[in-house]
Amino acid sequence: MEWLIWFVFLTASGYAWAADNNPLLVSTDVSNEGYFVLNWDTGNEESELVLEQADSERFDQVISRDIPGTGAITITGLEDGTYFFRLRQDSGPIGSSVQVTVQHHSLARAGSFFALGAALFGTLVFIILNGNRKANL
Amino acid sequence: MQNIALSPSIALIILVVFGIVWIGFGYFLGRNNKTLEDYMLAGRNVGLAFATATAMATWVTSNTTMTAPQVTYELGVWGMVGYSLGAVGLLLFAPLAKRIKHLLPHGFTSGDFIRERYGVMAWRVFLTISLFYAFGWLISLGMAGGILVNALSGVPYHLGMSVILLVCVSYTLLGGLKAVIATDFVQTIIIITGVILIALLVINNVGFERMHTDLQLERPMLLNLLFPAAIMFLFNNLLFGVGEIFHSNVWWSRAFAFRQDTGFRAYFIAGLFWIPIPIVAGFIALAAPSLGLNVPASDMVGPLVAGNILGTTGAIVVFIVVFSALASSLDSLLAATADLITQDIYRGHIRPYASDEECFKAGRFIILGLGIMTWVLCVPRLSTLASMLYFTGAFVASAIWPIVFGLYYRWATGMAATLAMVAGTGLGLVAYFSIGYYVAAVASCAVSLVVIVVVSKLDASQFNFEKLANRESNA
Repeated sequence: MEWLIWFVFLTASGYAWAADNNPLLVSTDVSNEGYFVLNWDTGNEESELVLEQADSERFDQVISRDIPGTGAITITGLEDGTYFFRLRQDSGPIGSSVQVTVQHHSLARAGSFFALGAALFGTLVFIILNGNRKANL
Repeated sequence: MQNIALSPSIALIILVVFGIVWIGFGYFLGRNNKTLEDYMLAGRNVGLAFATATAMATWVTSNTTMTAPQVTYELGVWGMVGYSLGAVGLLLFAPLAKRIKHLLPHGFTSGDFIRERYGVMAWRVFLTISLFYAFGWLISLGMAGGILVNALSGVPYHLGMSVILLVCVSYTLLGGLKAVIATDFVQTIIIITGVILIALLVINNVGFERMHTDLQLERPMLLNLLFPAAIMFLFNNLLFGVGEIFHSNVWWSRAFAFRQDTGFRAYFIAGLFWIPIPIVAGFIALAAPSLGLNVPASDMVGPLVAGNILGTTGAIVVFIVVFSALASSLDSLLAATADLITQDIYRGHIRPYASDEECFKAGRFIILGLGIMTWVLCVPRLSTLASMLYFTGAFVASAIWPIVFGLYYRWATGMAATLAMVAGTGLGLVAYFSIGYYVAAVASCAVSLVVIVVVSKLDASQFNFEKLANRESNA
């Protein structure tokens, strides 16, 4: 039963690619961790593709990556902001651009989980040491 | 396709040569297995050197050699450091191993303890968690094998995964725990030597300064010490590792198999030696931007970087190291899970009066069945290694407190342990899906603690540990 639940959840969360005709797809619209996967299928694996990244829809300033035949790329380590991506060949852009918003968790939330984890760890060490002492081990 | 560091034929030759060596080793060591204790627990006579090596080699897995680079690639410096906190599980299990051997000198599995300590209901919940985790880990190991072979050599994922599974199932089947521990010893030497070599080559080829500059420019959050998801990951990974080790029969079966007074030292030394391994393995992922590598899936980053900068020779070293790491964990997990199913499901639920000889035979069929089931579940590559693995964090972290309180304190009750595992797992899964994989274990562990303490205190009953010490195993 657990496997069925696991399968359904992971399938739904990890593989929910956008369903339109754009050859470039993104794994999520909003990333709380600064990483996401871009996936494409241009139908022509031989072509020399370039992935362009920009911080505006006009693609004024562009970071380009050669992406020969890989079909996907995992982008990581981005700061808060909205990022635009599109595919390009020599003849020009292919399809429309996709947009991803990176919005990291708040530091308050991160700090809360950190503190909770630290408290649990401290408790665990105390419980084990105290248990050993009482058991005379 | 991405750059391939090895030709498919070299990769397959390595797999076949090492496969033959491991299987031959398994056959050689398995010849003298006469009893169920020989097969399942290596005669309960494992000394310190082998005990330390098997503990360390088993914990250096695809988790370390492939998922550590993945979390470093996704969560940066804290991901790398957080991964090394997995060593805490081994260090804290050291005193538990001593206590386990003291309380259950004739025990076979972690399920034995839960059944005797908490009763049938808690035992069944625990078995569900334990088997779910074991399958999750088995699948992640099988997937890691396929991904590794594919990333380094271009050999199709399904072929690489199938060959690695076949090799590990074969020698575990032939040799039992003796073969697992002996191969772990050899694999530990290979892993330590190889990882150090790879790290030195990466530093020499790319250099710290270039890596830092490129990361600052292209992936600034990977260097940011206030990266929120990474901060949450730190203690989550620590507690996940603790949950994995405390509940899993992989570690309990070793505690039973080690000689008296060996468990504490073996687990403690293994933990200390393990700490730098994920740091070194994760570090190489930070070279990806400097190398201009396109990483299709983040769990491929380790082999891709190594193959790219180290060339064919380096790729061969990486291949052998990761293959050894995978094999050392896969065999241990196969053996320990088969023990759990033989003892707790087959003998515990299906044939209560099965003889040792019958269980000995059943254990071999169960190992084979586990191998086939793992293969079937690895065929559809459902997820990345990290998200796959950390999904089980919600389950295993809920078992930490029932194990610890159960081993040391009389007041923990069966009902409290059952509810703690169920509630912890449930809330852990809610956290996994609503926030991220990096909080599931913390949430599960916290809820489990509250539930076991509160519910136990509502009941005045006290467990008598003499019952455990005096009991004879029903095996």
